[in-house]
Amino acid sequence: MKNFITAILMTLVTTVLLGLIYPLVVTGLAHQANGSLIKNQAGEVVGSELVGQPFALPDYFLPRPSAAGAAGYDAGASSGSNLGPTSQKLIDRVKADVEKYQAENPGKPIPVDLVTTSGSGLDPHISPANAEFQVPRVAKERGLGEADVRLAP
Amino acid sequence: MTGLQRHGWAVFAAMSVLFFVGVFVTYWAEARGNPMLAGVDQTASATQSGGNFEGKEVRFGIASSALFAVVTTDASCGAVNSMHDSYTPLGGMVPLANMMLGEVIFGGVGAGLYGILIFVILSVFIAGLMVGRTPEYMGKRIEAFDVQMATLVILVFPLVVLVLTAISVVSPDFGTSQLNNQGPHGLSEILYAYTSGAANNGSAFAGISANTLWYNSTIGMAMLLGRFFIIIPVLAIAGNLARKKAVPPSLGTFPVTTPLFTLLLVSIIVIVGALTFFPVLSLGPIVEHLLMNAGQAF
Repeated sequence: MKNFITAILMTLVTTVLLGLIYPLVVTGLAHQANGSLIKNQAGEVVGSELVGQPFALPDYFLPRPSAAGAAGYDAGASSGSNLGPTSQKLIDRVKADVEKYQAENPGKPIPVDLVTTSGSGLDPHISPANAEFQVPRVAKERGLGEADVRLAP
Repeated sequence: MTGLQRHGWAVFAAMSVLFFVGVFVTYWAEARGNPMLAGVDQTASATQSGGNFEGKEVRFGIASSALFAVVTTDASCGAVNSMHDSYTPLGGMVPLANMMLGEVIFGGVGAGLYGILIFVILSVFIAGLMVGRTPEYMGKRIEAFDVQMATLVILVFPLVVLVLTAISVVSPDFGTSQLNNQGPHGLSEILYAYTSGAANNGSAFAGISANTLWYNSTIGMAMLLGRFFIIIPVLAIAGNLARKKAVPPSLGTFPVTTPLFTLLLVSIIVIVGALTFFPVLSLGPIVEHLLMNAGQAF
């Protein structure tokens, strides 16, 4: 009987402590619960630092391909492609992307993260090698020197 | 509690050996990349982590993804930071094998310790057979009933996993129709689903659309049998050992605190696991690895 009372009390104490007090403290002190939101100059929320978005215009650095949702980068449908290494679908998709990028930047090796989807489909990052690969295109589209693009914050 | 802290370290060492082998194999397989992707630079350099990058995040790279995959399947964690389905065949086989060994490498919450203790009992028993004495563990004689129960624990898990996988792969209507990948990778997907269910891991190869009547009911069954049915023989061993009188250790007692014991324990875990699951692994990940190197796609 004593064991039961201890167990019930333990449940109540941990519910209040971990279910109520801890979240409130974390929200109040660290502000991490607000998310890593990005706001524009008017103060409107336009995205999150940690959730990738589908930039498609050639004067932007393009994100990795995405399998999240039908069009990719659907933040409500996070997903990987789940294609295995011997999947014909994967090989065909990568081949098409490789041909596209080789035409844009002939002779340069294609960084692997440029043509592979991420596990979440929402990867906000590209590798430095991937960024370097895209520098010539971005520089040309924006009428800047390549060195200026590399120096941009 | 047992007064044998060095036995704890011996078991810990055995787990560590298996853990590090798993991490290194997965990392090696993933860092090699996918030879089927022509024209893609998969070599590691200062500016990219390279390797097989489908289903992995840039911020984690190959090393953290491989480490996470091994840790999550050694313990019954189940969270993932990269998609196991898109791993190279051998890289994906390690998480699968970790669960097939019964999640005894450091172990899952609640069920990890008794998993390794069953293997310890088997090891003492086999050592006893080799020296021709009645085996003892913690001063208790290990007799026929204890070994029968330990064997039952070892056998129920593969029975559940292999029978359900076998039914699924020969059933085009409700089994293989749900797959995202063809060829040997499809077998890996089904096998992973039942292994993860029976081992109560919760991670998924994920390519399989398991939200169907067949998969929901059979994976649910695998979860119940894999966790709760195994508890019964373990409790039977515990009760039986508790009733026995303790005997003082003699010259014939196999010491469970030495590196020799660690080696024996690792061997028993690997041999039991390999004997049970090697056939199905050779039809899934291993043949896929060979076909991938030969350039065969599905």
